[in-house]
Formats: sequence, structure tokens, C-alpha cells
Amino acid sequence: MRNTIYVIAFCLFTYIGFAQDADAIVGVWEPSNGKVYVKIDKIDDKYYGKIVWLREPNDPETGKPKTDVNNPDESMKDVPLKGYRMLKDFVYKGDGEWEDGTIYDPQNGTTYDCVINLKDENTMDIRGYVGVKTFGRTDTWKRLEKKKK
Amino acid sequence: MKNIGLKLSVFLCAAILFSCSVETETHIVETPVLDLKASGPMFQGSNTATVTWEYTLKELFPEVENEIVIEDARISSIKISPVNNFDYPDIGKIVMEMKPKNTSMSRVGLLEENFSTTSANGLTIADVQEDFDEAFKDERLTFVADFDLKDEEYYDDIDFELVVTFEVQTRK
Repeated sequence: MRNTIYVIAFCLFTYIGFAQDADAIVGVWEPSNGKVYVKIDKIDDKYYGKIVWLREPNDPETGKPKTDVNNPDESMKDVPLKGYRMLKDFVYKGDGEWEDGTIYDPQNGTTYDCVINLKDENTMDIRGYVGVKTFGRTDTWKRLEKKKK
Repeated sequence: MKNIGLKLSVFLCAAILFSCSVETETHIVETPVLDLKASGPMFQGSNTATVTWEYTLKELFPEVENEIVIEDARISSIKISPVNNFDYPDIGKIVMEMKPKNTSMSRVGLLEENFSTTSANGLTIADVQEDFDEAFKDERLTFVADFDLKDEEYYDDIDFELVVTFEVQTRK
């Protein structure tokens, strides 16, 4: 009986620890080009990131807010870039790695497979690739921290 | 001679396709009125409201006697309505995504003008709807609405009424 309680308690603590690790990427992140801020949230059991700030929110030619003009789906070209969900469907696999996700590049309207590796609390490597992880590009994102007063 | 060969090939292909085609039945499936909810506080810009619809294929298609096989599914309409007597902040465009239980999230609709607080808002439906037959089999769909809050801040929760209509083809 006592052994059963120990096993249940161990499983519970392990699960809680795993869930906390999984949520470690929740927050606002800045890619190396500094053009956008991306907020990562959990929806149901997966992780998603959307653009919450753009350095140039308006199209210089029209003066209107930028939209997803490069989307291959004609009916979705008017979707605003601010608020755009560009990271989708990430699942935590343990050891600071989130997999099975995709990243959308609004500059060419292409969606790539993607993995995220958390290097430390405020730094992550995000790798987009086509098919095989070897053929891809890695970018380092920094967590946006609160400005000190 | 060449023409006869070509015609014969086309005839053979058509015959093979016809023999392989599956007889289907189209059903119009409408969700119940779903409570699409965003939790406050919210700030100017993109905010998110979600709702999950759980169902069983058996309850949706009680008239199908054999095993229910979904051959195709697509969304034909999405309507977001204001809740009666709710005092809404100023809301702009709304982007709707759908997250099935086991397959990828995909964008399904867009409200191109500002949200009307006096009547139902019909969204433009995405032309591209891939793997929705697989999604529909999941029996659990989460609808995720990203709406543009134009007010500087809003401290309460916001509720919308959501109704989504699907066209589903089942095998006869």
C-alpha cells in the first residue's frame, strides 16, 4: 500500500515538473532581425505563437496596416499581420525541446516544419526546415524582458 | 490509329475511376450555439477567444446505419453574433482558426470589416481547407478567434455566440 502511494506521488511530481518545463516557452520573444515580437501561448495541449508587435506595422506604399499579401490562399490575403499566428502546433518532448510544429514566413508565404530548443530561460533556437532537419535555418530568439524602472 | 489509342486510354482511365468511385451522401451539420469566450483583462491589438465543440459522429449521423466513414468535410459558413445586452468594446477584424484534437490548426475564416454589435457577422471562408475530413473524425474541435481590440484596454471577459456549418460527405 505504502509503495503504491510512493509510486503515485512520484508520478504526480514528475508530471507537474514536466508540465512546468513545457510552459517554459510561454512569453513574448524577439527574433534576431528585431522586426516583430511573437507571443507564445498554450491552447489546449499545444503551443502557438502570434505576432503582437511589428517594427513597421503599416505598408509604406498604402499607409494601411500590413496584411498577409503573400498567402497562397487568395481568400486569406487580407488577414492582418499584427496578430498573425505564425507558430503552430508545438508539442513538448522533454529536454527543452518542442517539436511537430510549423513556422510561417509572411515574407514569402511559405510554411516550414519547425523545432524549438530552449538554450536558457531567455534564449531559444528556432529551426525551420523542409522535410529533413539537416536542411534548414536556425535563428536565435530572445525573450522580451520587462524594462527596469 | 494514334487517336484510337488515345481514346481507348481515356476510356480505360474513366472506367477505372468510375469503378473506384465511392457513393457518398452529403449532410449539412451545424454546431449548436457555442459560447466563444475571451478572458480579461485585454489590451489594444490582437486578443484571443476560444471554444471547444465536442460531439460523437454517432449523434451527428443517427440515420447512418453502417459504420460512419467520413469521405470529405468542409466549412461552408461561420457566424459570430453579439450576445444580447452585452456592452462590447470597439472590435475590428476577426480571424478564425480551427484546432482539431489530433491534426494541425488551420485558418478557416476572416471577418473583413469591423465586428457588428447589432447583428450576426458572417465570415469569409478559407478556399483552402485541407484534411478537414480527418479533423472532423476527431470529434473534438477548438475554434480560436483572434480579434482586434481597438479600445486601449478592457477589463471584463468578452462573450460571442458562434455557429459553424459544415458540409460533410459520408460513405453510403
